[in-house]
Amino acid sequence: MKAMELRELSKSFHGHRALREVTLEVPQGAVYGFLGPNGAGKTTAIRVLMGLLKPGGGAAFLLGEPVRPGLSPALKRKIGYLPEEPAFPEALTGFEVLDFVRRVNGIPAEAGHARIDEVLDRFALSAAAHRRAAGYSRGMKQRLGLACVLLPEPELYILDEPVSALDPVGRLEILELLASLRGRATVFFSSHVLADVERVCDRVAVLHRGRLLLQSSLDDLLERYQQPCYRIAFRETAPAGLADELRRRPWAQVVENYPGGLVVQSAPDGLASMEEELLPLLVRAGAVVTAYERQHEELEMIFLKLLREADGGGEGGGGDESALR
Amino acid sequence: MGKGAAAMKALFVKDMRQLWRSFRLPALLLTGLFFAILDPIGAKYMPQIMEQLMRGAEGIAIVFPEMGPEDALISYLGKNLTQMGAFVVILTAMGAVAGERERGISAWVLTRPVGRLPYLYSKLAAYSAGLLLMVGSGTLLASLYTASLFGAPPPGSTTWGALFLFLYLELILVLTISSSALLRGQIAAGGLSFAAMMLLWLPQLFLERTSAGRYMPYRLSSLIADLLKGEAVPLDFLPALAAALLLAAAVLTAASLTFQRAEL
Repeated sequence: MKAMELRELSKSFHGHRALREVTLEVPQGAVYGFLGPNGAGKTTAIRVLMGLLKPGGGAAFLLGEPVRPGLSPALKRKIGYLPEEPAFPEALTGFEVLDFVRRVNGIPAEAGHARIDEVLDRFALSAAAHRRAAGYSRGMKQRLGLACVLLPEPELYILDEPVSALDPVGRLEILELLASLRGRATVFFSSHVLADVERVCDRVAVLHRGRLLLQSSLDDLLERYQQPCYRIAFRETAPAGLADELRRRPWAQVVENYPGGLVVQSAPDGLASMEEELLPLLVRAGAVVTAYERQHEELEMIFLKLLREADGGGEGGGGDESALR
Repeated sequence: MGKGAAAMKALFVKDMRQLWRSFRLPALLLTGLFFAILDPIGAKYMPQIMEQLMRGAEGIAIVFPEMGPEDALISYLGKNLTQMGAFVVILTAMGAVAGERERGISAWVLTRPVGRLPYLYSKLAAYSAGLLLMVGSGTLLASLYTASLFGAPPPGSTTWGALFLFLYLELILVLTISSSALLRGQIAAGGLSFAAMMLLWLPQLFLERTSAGRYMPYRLSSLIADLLKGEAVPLDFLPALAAALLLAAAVLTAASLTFQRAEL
């Protein structure tokens, strides 16, 4: 049984197709990254999965059970869901919100209160536990939302941008926590922060303009798309026209500028030629090189490449790409 | 306790806390208590007040009938709490579901292990408890104050009157909570509830003395004055009560079916 399955899932809003026949499978025990720029349809897909939106077509299954508007309480007991911006009952304190979660999950008071203290401590909310949750900062609300998700220890975690409001330390802690669940539970989380996904996920799916571009294990993805590249730093700036000169070479697939330097990625089967010709070319161009280093592409480069291919192969990947970090 | 019952209890406790801390429950209680003080004293001193106001106006003589304890309670149960109570019920309950939907709270709550119907019925139960406290505490205070000013009011008809007023306001509450579940905005829900209340009252203009008028739900409130004057008995409320129950059941069923399938 798959932890999650989407079969040709579609959803439209007033003629806008937010999801287009999305098909994906999440194996049990995986930490699964659901990637896509802002507006790609990630939140819509998650809201359909949680029974908050009706699918326009296709079907979805959670832990083998079909998804329909208003999931059964028995199924919801096995799922921990964190919305992108959790909104808690306004008059309740943080402790009362967690106690409500304890009660509806049928956790006995004695064990449950000890567990509440544990998660409050883990998410650094003990001092604010008896303040109204509506007055919490965005980061505190996200931590309380995560505490609510973790309290009943569900089988499946569905988290929509779970670390978007956290500071770098909190972000790292939560990502490590999610990674630690691997094998014990299934974690499906959406993000547009590629470094987070690369850090903890073993499988990824990429959604763009409502369409699934790929789903794969992270290792396969990196192996399939990764091309060696050289990062070159200059004492001042790159000589004028150097980037254009490099782009004309058949062995250079991508040439990207960055402040004070260039990244040159080899074309398939072009690495040997690139290694022979690149350095002499830099010398001929009169560049004063302060660093010259071979690197492998990060997920971010692969991701941008995928989006460009999906948009028709041109440089214009659309404004969405600027939303990626 | 089963898991379903435990979830329902958790929802009810949460909703009662919210009612109290959002000042909705205090607003209901204060409305009941405010008129419980105002109406008996108004009935007691209205003749003197009018006499003072009319002093010096030659050629005009206003004769007030002797006021009794039933007049104070007619003013309270049959007029002010019927009208102002209904407005306050609509104002406090119109956002019960629609407001939470607007703010994303219902999406959070309903992705915990609770069903949509328990969520809806828990709101109805919490507001009903608030309504019961409003009518119950207000009637008790109004009766005690009336007794100190006029003498003891008739306990039987006062209790029946309070019960029928509660049932009438409960009908308004069902209409409001149902509107709140059917519509996305709380202002729209309030508007629909107000329009429904007006529609309940409209037949009074032309059906009051007809046999069909006996089946109109508004009679639950309009007969209270007759009950307190001794001109009606509790059984006279039965046709209106049956119609009100049918209407409430139909509206609540429609709201429940729609809300179960609604996108949040």
